[in-house]
Amino acid sequence: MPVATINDVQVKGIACAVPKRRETESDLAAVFGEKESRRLVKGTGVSERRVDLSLCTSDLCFSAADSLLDELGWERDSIDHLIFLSQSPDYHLPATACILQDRLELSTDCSAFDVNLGCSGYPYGLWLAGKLLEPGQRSLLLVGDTQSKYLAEEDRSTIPLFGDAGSATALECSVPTESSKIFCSFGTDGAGSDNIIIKNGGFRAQCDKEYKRGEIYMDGAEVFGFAIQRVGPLIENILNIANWTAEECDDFIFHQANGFMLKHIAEKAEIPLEKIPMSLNKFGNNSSASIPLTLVTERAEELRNQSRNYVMVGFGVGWSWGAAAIKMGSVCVPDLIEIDSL
Amino acid sequence: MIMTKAGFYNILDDIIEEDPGTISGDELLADLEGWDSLSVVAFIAAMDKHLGVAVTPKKLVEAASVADLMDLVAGQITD
Repeated sequence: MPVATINDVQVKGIACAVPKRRETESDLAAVFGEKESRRLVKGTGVSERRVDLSLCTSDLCFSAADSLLDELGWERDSIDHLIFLSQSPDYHLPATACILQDRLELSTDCSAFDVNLGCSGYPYGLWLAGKLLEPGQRSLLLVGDTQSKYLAEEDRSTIPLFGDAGSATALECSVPTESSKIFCSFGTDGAGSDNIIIKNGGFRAQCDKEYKRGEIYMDGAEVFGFAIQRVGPLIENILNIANWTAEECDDFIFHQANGFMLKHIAEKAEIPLEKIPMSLNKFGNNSSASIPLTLVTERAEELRNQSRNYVMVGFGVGWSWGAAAIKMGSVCVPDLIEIDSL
Repeated sequence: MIMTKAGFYNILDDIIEEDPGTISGDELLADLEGWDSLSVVAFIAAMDKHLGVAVTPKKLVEAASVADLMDLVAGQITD
């Protein structure tokens, strides 16, 4: 697996925003019936999700970034790089990062670009945002998705699972310390690209009749098969790169794919469940935002007040997978932001 | 890792949320009310956990009967 080490970079803050609007088991029951909705909640581990068709990913990421910059006390013109990592951009073009540069009132002396990745995206984003930094520079990584707009009517594979979320992570080039290294590992197997896909909306299949509008298709069994094949070796690899044992890692922050899947992976990798915080029961699977959302909702106090070792593991659509190992402490973590409908 | 036929049937009972002893081995999957896409995932997980076998989803969805499911892990099932 390709590996990377980022030196002299620290994560200074993480913020997340979700829609205020909730969907619960009773909303599922209205579509699938009570017995089936109970089974779906049990099967996914998701009892509640935040979805709002009036909010774009950029709206959620904007709120998270706006709040984070204020809490950090960072001047807007001190940001040198802005990355928007998402599979739900505002437009085909221009890049949503350009729109957010203006909305956030960042300097025009700021690089800004989009990255199209989903479940594996957060480790990728940390790698990119960290690697861009020169001494004295700061980068802002905005990661999120609003898959609620992609869901096909009555699709039991996706409706019970996906929720909307956006995040902002602030990174800074710093003096070398124990917590200024980020270790990363990545992999790709495009042979699995058909298993989570939106065929319409791009240029390859503008006239595809198989999928209406821009609806997402997901083969849950293939996703599960992929995950149990790839995630174990990925964990092993990232621990080796960081030179940590599993015991030395305080928390494994997994992409919140599915509760049943995460428990199976944990058992197989012999990682105690208390080291695997989960946010999906309250927020569902938020694609690339699920790792920062889990950090903000489940580990805020630890991030603010302790120095701890974290392994972050993303895997899914692509197939694409990535992991990052990082020691973090004294991180600015604003409380979760909840946004009203527009 | 190996498993008896009875153990295999018990796992299927659990997956489709029926009482132990429900599955006898002659059933068609289409006749099992609890067999659905969630069951497919649960079956992959169970075979991985109990037998160390990574069942290929493409082969699994071609299975029409309980006997077909057992064929996917035939080398690890004993009487």
